[in-house]
Formats: sequence, structure tokens, C-alpha cells
Amino acid sequence: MNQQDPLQGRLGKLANAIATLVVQTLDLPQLASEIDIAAIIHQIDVVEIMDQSDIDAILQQADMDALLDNVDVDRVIARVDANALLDRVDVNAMLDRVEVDALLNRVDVNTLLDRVDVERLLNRVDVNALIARVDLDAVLDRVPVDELAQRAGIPEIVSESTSHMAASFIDLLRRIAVGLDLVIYGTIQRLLRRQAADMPQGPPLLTVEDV
Amino acid sequence: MRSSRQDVSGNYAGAVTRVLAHWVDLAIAGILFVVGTAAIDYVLRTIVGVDAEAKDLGRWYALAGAIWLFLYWWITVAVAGKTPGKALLGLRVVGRQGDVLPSLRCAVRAASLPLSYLLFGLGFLGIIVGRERRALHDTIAGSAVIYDWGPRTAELPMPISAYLARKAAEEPRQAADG
Repeated sequence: MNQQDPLQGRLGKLANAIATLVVQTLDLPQLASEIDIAAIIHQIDVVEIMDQSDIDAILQQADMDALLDNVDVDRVIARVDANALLDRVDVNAMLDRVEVDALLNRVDVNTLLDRVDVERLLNRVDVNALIARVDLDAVLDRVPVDELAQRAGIPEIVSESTSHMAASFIDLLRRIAVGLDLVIYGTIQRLLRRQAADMPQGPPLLTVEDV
Repeated sequence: MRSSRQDVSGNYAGAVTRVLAHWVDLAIAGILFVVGTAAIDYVLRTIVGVDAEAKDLGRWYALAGAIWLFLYWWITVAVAGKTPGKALLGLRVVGRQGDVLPSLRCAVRAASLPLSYLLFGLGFLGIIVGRERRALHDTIAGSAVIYDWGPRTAELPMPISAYLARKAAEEPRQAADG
């Protein structure tokens, strides 16, 4: 390996000398400006190059993160015509493909409800407007008032209170009559000079005498 | 407040309550008799074709009335121990000792009731002056009339109860002073 071809050594030196001389002689920027790059590129068959390339190998070697870091996503999105995109979407077809039951089964309703701010929700509800729209007559027509009254025991309460009032009134009249009885009897006994204490209050079986 | 009223349940009933009860009974029995006879008269005229007024049935009506009153006083007292009037005024008919009055003695009491009306109602005088406040028909039947308000306590009015309580408290003191 140390012994070089003597011809190659001399030719090589000559070639190098010529090349150096050519480079020094040529005006490279001038030369480059005279090259028709567009025509060259036009002659390149990109599809053929792509067919011959191993895209997967290239992609595996590519640093996708670095690539994505260089992408200005906002600018890309800004250029997207969302309306045109949505116009092309067949929503019905998409919804037909959605399995709603399976979707709902995956929804945790409790968690969902925990996230609902009920107070805020209610504050936004116009209750008066809501009530104004309710047909109360129709609602009441559907309410079994008699059955509700029966279940609440209202007839019993009314009956009980009525009978209680009637009994109280009758007792009042009875007390007045008993009082008059006692006044008349006491007066007669006094006229007859009898001691009230000596008089029996009632039949022996029904009165308990003081011991 | 109720506890301060004096309990008179089981005590002999006085004249006012008994007279009022008797009037109520006469009114009820009379109304029922008039309605009943009117109904019978209507049936006789429209269905049987008998004109009761033309046949001078006054004596029969009087007899029917007497029987009706007897049955009224007998059956109600025998079954319930009280007539409707007595029930309203809170009275009950019992035996002299306070026992239940047998049906036969209820019949005797109902039958002898008119005797108390004789001599201007002299038979009722025993209710006012008698020791057991019994009328003539009570004496004959061996019965007595007491206060009985059913499940509720028969009570005196508050002022009379208070008066009796004061008097009962003073009597031992006066006896000691005397």
C-alpha cells in the first residue's frame, strides 16, 4: 500500500494542477448564473425518484418532533376554510355510524352532574315565564284531588273536628243544665234545712264516697 | 282547666236536665208519631182506599199514640239505658243501686210514667225534694237517673265548681270554730 503507482502519482498531480488552474481561471458565479436551473429541475422525474426512494426509511430517520416544532400550526389553521370543510362533512352519515347507547354507557352521569352548577343554571331560568306557559287547569284536571284528599285523611280530620266541636257545644249546654240542677237542689235542701253532706250523691255502686 | 271542674259522673240527675230531656223525648216521639200516622193514613187512602178521617178513628189514634209512647220509653231505656233525650242531655237510667235496670222494670217504668203527671205533676216532685231525686215512676220501677256523658266526664261549670271547692274548704274550719 505504501508503494504507489508511479503513473497515477504523476497524473494525479497533473490533474490537480490543471483543476486548480481551471478553478482559478473560471469565474464560477458567472458560470452559475448562466446555468438554467429551472430547465434542469424540469427534466427531473420526481415521481420516479420517489418510487425509487424508501419513504419509510426516510421517515424513520426524520426527527418528527423537530419537524413539528418548526410548523406554525396557527398559520396552518388560519389558512383552513372551516366552513368549506364542514360543508363537505355528511353529519347524518357520521351520526348514523355513532352507537349512541355505547356512548351513553361510557358517560359517568354522576360526574357530569357534579360539574353542573345548578344555582347558576336556575338563575338563568325565568320561572315566571315558565309558569306562565303552564296550563294549570289542564294540570289540575289530571290531579286526582279526591284521591289525594282521601289519602291525606282530610275527611277523617274534618269529621273528627266537626264531631269534637259538636261534642264541646253539647257538653257546654250540659254543664249549664247540671249547674242549674245543683243550684235548684241546693236551694231546696237549704229550705228544707237539710245538710247537703248528708245527701247521697248517687247510687252506691256508682259513687265513691270519701274515706 | 278541665281538671278544676268538679266531676259529677254517676251522681243523681237534677230537675232541669231531666225536664229538658223529657221535653226532647216528647218532641221526638211526637214528631215520629205524626209522621208515622201520616204515612199510614196516606197508604190507607191511596192503596187500601180507606178514608181514616171519615171513619172517626180518633180513639184508635189516641190508643196508638199511648202504645207508641210506651214502646218509645220502654225499648230505648231497655236497649241503651237512655232515651234519645236523655242521651242528648247526658243522663242514664239505672237500678236503685246503680246496676243495669232489667227490661221488665224498664217496662214498668215506662208504664208508670203517666202516673207522675197526675195531680199537676206531683209525681215529679221527688226529683227536687227526694234524697235520691227519684220521680214517682222511678220509685215504682226501682230506678234512678244519673249523669252519664259516655266516654267524657260529666262536669259542673267552672264557677260552681270553684264555689263548691271554697265551701268544702271552709266547712272544716267553721266546724272547728263552732
